[in-house]
Amino acid sequence: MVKVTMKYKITINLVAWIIGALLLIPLLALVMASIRPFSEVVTGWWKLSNAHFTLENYIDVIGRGFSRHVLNSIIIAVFATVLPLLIAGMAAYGFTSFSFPIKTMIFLTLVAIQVVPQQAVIIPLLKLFRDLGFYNHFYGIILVHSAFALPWTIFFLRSFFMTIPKDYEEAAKIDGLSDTMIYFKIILPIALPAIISVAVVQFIFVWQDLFFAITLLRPENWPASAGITRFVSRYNPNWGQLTAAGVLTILVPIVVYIALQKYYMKGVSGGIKG
Amino acid sequence: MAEVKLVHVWKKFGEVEAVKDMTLEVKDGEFMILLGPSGCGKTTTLRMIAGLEEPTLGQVYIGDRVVADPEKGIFIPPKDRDIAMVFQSYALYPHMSVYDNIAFPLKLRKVPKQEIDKRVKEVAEMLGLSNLLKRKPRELSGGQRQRVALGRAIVRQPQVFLMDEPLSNLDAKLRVRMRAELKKLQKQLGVTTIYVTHDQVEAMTMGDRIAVINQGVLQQVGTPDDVYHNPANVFVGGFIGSPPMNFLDASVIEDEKGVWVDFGEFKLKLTDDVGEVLREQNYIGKEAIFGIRPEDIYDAIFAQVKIPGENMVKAVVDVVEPLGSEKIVYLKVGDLSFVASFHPESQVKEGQEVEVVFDMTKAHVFDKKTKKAIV
Repeated sequence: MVKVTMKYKITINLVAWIIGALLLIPLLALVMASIRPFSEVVTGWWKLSNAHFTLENYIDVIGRGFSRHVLNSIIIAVFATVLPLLIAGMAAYGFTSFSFPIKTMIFLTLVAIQVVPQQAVIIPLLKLFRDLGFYNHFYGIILVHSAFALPWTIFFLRSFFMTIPKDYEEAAKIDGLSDTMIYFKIILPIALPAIISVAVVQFIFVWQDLFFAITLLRPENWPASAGITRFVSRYNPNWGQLTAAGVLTILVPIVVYIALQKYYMKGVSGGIKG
Repeated sequence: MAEVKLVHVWKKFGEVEAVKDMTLEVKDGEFMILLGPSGCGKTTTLRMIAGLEEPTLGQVYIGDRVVADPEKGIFIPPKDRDIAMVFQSYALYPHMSVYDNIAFPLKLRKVPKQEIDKRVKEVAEMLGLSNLLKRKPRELSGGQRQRVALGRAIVRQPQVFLMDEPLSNLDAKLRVRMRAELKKLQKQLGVTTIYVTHDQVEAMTMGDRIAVINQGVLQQVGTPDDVYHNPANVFVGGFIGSPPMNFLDASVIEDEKGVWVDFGEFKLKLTDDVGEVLREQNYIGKEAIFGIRPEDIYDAIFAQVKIPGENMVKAVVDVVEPLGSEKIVYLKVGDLSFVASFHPESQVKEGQEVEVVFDMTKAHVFDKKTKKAIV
């Protein structure tokens, strides 16, 4: 094991704090620009002499219907997180615990599918959406996000399930559980941190999507990530409203992350205790 | 309570034969140990009884019921076999409290809540877990986890307990204590128990009978005394006992005094009974394997019966390992090496020549080809 010296500790801390600060500066700029009048922001958001703070931008943004976009985002992100996780969990368990024909081939196909970029499939997808009547419907975009989530979520959960000792399943079998109940009563609770990790990543991924949102939905159904563009104007850049919309857009993922951080850390660091 | 029977059971994993033609009967209420080295098929055998593996051939009975017979397409799933199993890793559900872990099999069997509570508390009391019921498995020590795993098995009141090396994750001191507790508990409950271990001390101290397995083949079944004193073959003789039995290649010869085993460097006279058997089975003039346990070789000073030229030989001390209660002495006569367990007060030193006496009444002779015991 590497011996951790004080000098090493200080250096690591210093580097971490610098990276953290650099990442926080744009966020701070966003918040400051959203709560100060436009006249103050254009002279530099960091200047605090004679600073005035106001929630006017937020009121304006909500007044212009931005809350609808946030709600759209919530609907899409929640369903596009829950649906693939329901399927991926069971599929990953199947890949881990059962033998069936061409299992390896199916799994390798899933892994290979991950490299297909969204842009490569958008034209046929759009045609399919028109034919099936999915265009401009939430369920359509939810299905697309779910489909794109499945390969990596199955891959991730399978890797986690493989770390769960077989003894738990066998003990449950002897105790009297069926295969399905073993998944729901034993495996799922044990794998909860991993599932929540996947959920956080998928939620944030769907939340920040712009590409599918603007191609598969009309502006009235756009989520916040796309709705924010309504405040971009070529001749009159309204920084106050744009940044207020930005803050409102990132608020939900931040809350989700903070609420689930404990499980998220457990999930990514792995390990089953007990 | 029920007896367990395996009749000509085979288990193949692809080309690998893990269990070969195993026929074994475990009596009602008996504590049977399946003993053998890693990979010998003992855990596979236990798993076939549990229903976690399906035999390739043969029948498995629990009580009067056939629980597995692949030829007739019979396979009763584990939950319907009325067995409980304790795993090496304990397999306690990490998201459940101790109480819930113990109560879980009862809840699945839809036992009334009050009855569950009563039985869980009884078992917890019996195993000294009463004040730990609200804890999660990760908050328990190894010994406590082990007890919870036992509790989960006991609470079901099954016909058979199956235990897969349940003590091997404990430290040496705790293992000794749990060994005694487990044995006492088994006697108290009287439930037929099949216990897998590779630890011969566990096997000798806990089991009513021991089934020794090697390379998927049942070598011998008998009481601890029986397998120790009358090993069926070279494997059993070598596997049970520490240090293991000495095996020396010898020729069986006969003269006017009787029958001898000749090692080239020296020879030893066999007892008349053993000589008679060897003569009857035409081993005179043939090669055989002579076996003797280290504790049956004495420092001549401490030997009761010593007959120079018949059971006594001069050997050079190679290494001495004083263990307090005995001295393990590695000896050499020419190119022949063997181990003896001397009296703790023996004063032998490394490099010294010492007279050693073989207790020929405890000698074993094995067939050179089949490695099976002749006497």
